[in-house]
Amino acid sequence: MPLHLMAASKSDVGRQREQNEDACYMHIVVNDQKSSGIFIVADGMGGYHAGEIASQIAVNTISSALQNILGPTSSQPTIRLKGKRQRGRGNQANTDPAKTRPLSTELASEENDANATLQLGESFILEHYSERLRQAIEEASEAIVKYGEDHREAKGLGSTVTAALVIGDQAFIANVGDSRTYLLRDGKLTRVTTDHSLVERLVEAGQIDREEVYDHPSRNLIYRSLGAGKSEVEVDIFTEKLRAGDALLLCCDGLWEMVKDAQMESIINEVQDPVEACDLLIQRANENGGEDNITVVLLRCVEG
Amino acid sequence: MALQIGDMLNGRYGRYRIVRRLGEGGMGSVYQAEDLAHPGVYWAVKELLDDSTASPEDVEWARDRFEAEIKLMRDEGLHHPRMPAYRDDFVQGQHRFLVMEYIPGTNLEERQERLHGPLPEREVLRWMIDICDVLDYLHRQKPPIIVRDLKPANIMITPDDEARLIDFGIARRYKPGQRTNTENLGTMTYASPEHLGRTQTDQRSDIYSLGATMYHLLTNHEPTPLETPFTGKMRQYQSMLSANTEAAVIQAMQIDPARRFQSAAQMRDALRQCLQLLDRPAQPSKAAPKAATTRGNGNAAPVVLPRGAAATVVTPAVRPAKPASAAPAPAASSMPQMDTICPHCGFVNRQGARFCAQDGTPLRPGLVPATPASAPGVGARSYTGYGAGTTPAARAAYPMQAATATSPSLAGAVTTAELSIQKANEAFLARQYQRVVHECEVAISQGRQTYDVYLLLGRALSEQGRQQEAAAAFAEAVRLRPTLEAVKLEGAAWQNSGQLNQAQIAYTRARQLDPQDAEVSYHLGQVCYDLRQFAQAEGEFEAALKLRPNYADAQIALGRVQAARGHWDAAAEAYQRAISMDPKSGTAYLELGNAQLALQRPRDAVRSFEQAAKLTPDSDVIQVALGMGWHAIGNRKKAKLALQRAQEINPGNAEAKRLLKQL
Repeated sequence: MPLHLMAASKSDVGRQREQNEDACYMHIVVNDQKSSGIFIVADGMGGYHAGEIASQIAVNTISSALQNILGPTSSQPTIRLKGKRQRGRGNQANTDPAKTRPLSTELASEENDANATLQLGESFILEHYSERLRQAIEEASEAIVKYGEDHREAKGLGSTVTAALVIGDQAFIANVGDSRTYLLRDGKLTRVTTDHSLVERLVEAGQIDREEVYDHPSRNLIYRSLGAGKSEVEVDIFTEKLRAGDALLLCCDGLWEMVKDAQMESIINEVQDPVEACDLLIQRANENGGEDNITVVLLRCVEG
Repeated sequence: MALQIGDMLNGRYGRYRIVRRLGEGGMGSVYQAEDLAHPGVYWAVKELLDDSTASPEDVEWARDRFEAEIKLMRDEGLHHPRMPAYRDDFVQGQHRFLVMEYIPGTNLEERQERLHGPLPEREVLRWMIDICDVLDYLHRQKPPIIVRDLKPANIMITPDDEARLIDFGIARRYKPGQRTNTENLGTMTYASPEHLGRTQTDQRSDIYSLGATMYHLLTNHEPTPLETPFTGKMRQYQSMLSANTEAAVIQAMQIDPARRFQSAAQMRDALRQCLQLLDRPAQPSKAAPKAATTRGNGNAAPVVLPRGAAATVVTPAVRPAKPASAAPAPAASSMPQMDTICPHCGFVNRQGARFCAQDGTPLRPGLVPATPASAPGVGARSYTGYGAGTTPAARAAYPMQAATATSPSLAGAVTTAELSIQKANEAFLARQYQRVVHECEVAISQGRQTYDVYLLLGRALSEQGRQQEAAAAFAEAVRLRPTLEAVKLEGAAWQNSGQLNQAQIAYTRARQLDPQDAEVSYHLGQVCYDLRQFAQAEGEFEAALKLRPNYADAQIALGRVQAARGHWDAAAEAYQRAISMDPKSGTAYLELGNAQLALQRPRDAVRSFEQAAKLTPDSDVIQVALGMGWHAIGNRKKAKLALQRAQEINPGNAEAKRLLKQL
């Protein structure tokens, strides 16, 4: 039974800031009863409105880089033979014999039909989409660095990002920085991503308790981000097989710092409509102080 | 208000003119300034900035820290050759300035960015041994001085390839308690758990930072904050890294300070051992650097004073607030022992050696640092690449300055040789290669027969097209220190001068130094190809592709090998592969077209040539090929157009002329 996707997104400036430096994006496509989608939350960094720009560049670059994945396809996922080939981190992919195809066939079909596609095995599909997602995020980082180089006043601008690419029942989740993606399954909310923040490391190193994260003085410090002068970025990718009834929640620290995980869990469990749930999450974050911009993308999987 | 280039400063001991900005921190900047009384002598000027966006407490804090730094440098007699020396401090226009020894070179952050990859293990070890020396010195002060801000950007590599501890800019203090927007952790990546957490820092915090710095330099990956790397992690990024060195980094980066090296001296010993084992790979010793299992008590080898004459010191450092809680610095034993580390190149020689096995510098027992400019044994060098007749004139042009400081206020003054090296570096940046050659000759005549000078000389000669002389200079640099960089440059210079056999030897040596370097395989393949050793060339190109799977140039070269054998089908396939690796390669399309012409597929060939022309619009060679393609199809008009275009691009293209005539 194919999954059907329902989503909502919302961003709010919060109670204490003048400008909203977050950005978000959602897009769902249905082909042959199969739903696919892209969901992104980015939290910008840098003064003089540069943060706003950075998060916007992140969202734009990633969404457009992934757009053609959502285009019409046959029932079995396929890969386009034309277009950019894998580069960068894809070294392992190139040496795996299972993933290499004889070049002659590829070139022959390329000549015959520019829209030719090739059916692929499942493990390759996972690898392929993960890699596409990773590349899209790397591209975003490069674009942000480039912007900083071209606009001196915005030098050093950067952004966090968490993104989910959903193809059928397969979710690919990426993370850089301290925005988060959670998975709600069987009524339980669990965090998928790991924050690249100092406080997360302090918890891991046993220097502080997890509860202390919420008011630790250094909780705003992250060690990985898009841009910030460094075009190279290490991206965490997680894959998750979705089931009917699951929900994915993407949010920036403005939500999760203000609304504890248990509160988020009960809101998502109680309010079925994604739009209402987003509204309620943001309302709760503001009630609890609204110290930072608040951005939420909520995605529900229902039986189609 | 930040200083501008050309601004003059009146200090207590001299006047200075700002030449350029060297670096910038949150609360201050560092400039290079020329000494007006001694033209050609440079100092580093550090300025505390007013930052209107900073809170008054932060400004206060930065000011206190700056004053403390000045006091340390000026009043407490700190001096170590691996730190900048104090020169002057003063107030001008309500701004506070500190003048220090100017240390030319590049910092390790810049080096890494330039290299885009892991730095060579041997060099990193050598540099870090140097840094351990200065840390040991600082930690032994009473109370100990903790640097806390140790990171690649704060380690400078001088043109003489020595490491120095520096501090550019004044860090902005992190404001606790106040909710600020998400920020980058930045250089806190290298900070110790206790620095980031809430326990007291001591000298072992610097050990952690040095380990984290090494991790970054050796892998080209930023360390994850507060994470001890697991065994094998570094070698995932750098498979050539020795297990010993990895083990040393892991020990330095322990979360629990009690499990790290307990002193800089202890870490230095372990690193020396790593270096030693690296130089003697023949004896697979299981003795990993275990020096650190004994706690606290530095059972260290005697202190070897690094070379470097006139420097006095000071540093970017902070004394811990409560010195009492800091663990006492372990006293290094002073057992006399023959100095086996070469004071000149850092090579670790066998015990009892009298001359350095690497560069022939005399090794002396005890702690006497060698004075490079006057070391007598160094004069006889086999470098013969170009005439030595220029040196007397050079000497006349640059009157000899005293090599040692003439007055206390001039401590750290630059010698003639150093000045020449500096001028040579500047001239190189300005692309005045003739001047570079001249200055290098002066430096060499003054006794600076160092690796860096020969390397620079080689580069300048190479830029001037004097490839054979360049090759000789690089060969000399290699003789002094066989680095991958120098050997590759030597190979390229021989190759460019047409001495293919010499080039082959150099590249083969480069491959021994780093079998994982795809470029070396590629160049070696090129040389073999030019020597018409096709089988060997093919092997090299394939090796290059294995090391770097999307190496389009190597793929094109593979095609050329096939073409040279007359295997046009295979050649065309290779070029097509190259195009799929790099769709923007005009060369690949050009070669593909040539192969297609040979295969009697002129229409395909024209398509390829057109694509090549689109990618490289101003190549006359491609236009000639295109003309030949159209001619093969029988389209004389288009053939003529292409050939005319080729002549427009390069009026001297004889082939275009000849073909046009034929048409």
